[in-house]
Amino acid sequence: MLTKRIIPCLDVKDNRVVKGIEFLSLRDAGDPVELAAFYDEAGADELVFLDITASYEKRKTVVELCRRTAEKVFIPFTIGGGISDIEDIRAILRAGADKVSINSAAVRDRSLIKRGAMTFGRQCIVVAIDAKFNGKFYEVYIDGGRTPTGMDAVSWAKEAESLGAGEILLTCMNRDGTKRGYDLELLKLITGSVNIPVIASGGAGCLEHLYEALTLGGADAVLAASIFHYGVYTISEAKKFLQEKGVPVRLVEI
Amino acid sequence: MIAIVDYGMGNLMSVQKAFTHLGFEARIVSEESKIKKAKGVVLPGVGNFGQAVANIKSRGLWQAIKDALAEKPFLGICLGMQLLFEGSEESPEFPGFSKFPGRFILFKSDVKVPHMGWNSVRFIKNSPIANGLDGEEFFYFVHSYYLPFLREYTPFALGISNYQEKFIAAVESENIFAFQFHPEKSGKKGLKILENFGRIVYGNNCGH
Repeated sequence: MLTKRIIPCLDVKDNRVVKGIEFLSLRDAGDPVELAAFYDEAGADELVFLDITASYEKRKTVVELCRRTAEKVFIPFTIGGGISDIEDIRAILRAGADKVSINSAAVRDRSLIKRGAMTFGRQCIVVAIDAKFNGKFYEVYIDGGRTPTGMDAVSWAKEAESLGAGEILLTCMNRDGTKRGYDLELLKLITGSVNIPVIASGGAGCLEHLYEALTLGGADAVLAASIFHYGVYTISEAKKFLQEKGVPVRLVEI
Repeated sequence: MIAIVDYGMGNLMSVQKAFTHLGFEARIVSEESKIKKAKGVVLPGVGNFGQAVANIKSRGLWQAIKDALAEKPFLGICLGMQLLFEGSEESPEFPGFSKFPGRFILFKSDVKVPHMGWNSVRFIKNSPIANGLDGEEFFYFVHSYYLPFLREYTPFALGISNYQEKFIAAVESENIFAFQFHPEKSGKKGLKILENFGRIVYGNNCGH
């Protein structure tokens, strides 16, 4: 049976992890590769690196990160953050990443999804959608949540699917960082409208939240940062909790 | 040396790094001569079936792969497994290597396509490639076309998984081993498969 996935998200800047590393007893928890290997060992199903490096050498640093990760990590990993053209995608995938997550660039140039899927296969094109409820509908934001687009998240998700996205990474901005749980309404809207996997992101504060997103929300995977980075729960605690509640997960002996 | 065939499709780096991590010498190769010289051959691949056949032919690698299939330890991964069969609904006009009978078909839209994520595989026979693994293990899949499990495939079927219906996740025939999932992306259990392949290639000695 296909299992639901647990995906820790690592925020990276200039090749260093920037969030929540002080709680893990690693030799160098600031090294994204070491942290990634730790999560692989701990039973994570996939990893997402959100790279917020802004320098002109960005591509080079990201490629280096992928290459080093591919030497030590043997589960799928995705790179997101500032990917803007086919050459970025090519360089990242060639260096060993399995998927790229595209956000603002996909909104600005929809053909990027199509070209990416045609060139590399739709399975490696994740479209990240940041959405916020504006009183009428869930509106898509870009540029790291700074720029409203006027677009409806549901129709954008459908369009992204038809353009060739292999997966949707959905962040509810109203909930991100709140620990109040994923926005189940938004999740249900999106998972009910597309036939590609949806990863829920933003708001996980406890294991019950993961459970709700994967069952009531219909998500295929949950992305979480704080609850794992701050050592609130381990990956196996999360998986055991879900399994006891009847959610299919991949348990790993550690 | 284990040759990982580069025909312009898919993530070869991960396969190579996995072998390196395990202490086996593996190289990404794109020339016929290097496939001929290799002790074992890996055919990976992600993408379109017909495109893969066309690429392999236009790069002049078809015969070398065919020869390797006849005589050397051979590992097919994902599309690299599909290519060993007669063909795929994805590109009906392109025949595969036809080492195994059967044609791949597309998952119907009552499930999410591609089939992506960790699914369990039940090994239905013993094999040196599955040494050290339990009868049922989780592996990472990404694919849209599949081979339904039919009784007539039993002689070469090694592992069965389930998505929409029972399908073939692993096959074996003498020197050939092939997997629909990605051992290089399936954590420790996947590495075990690659390690077993390395041992088969190097006759149970390490290739360090």
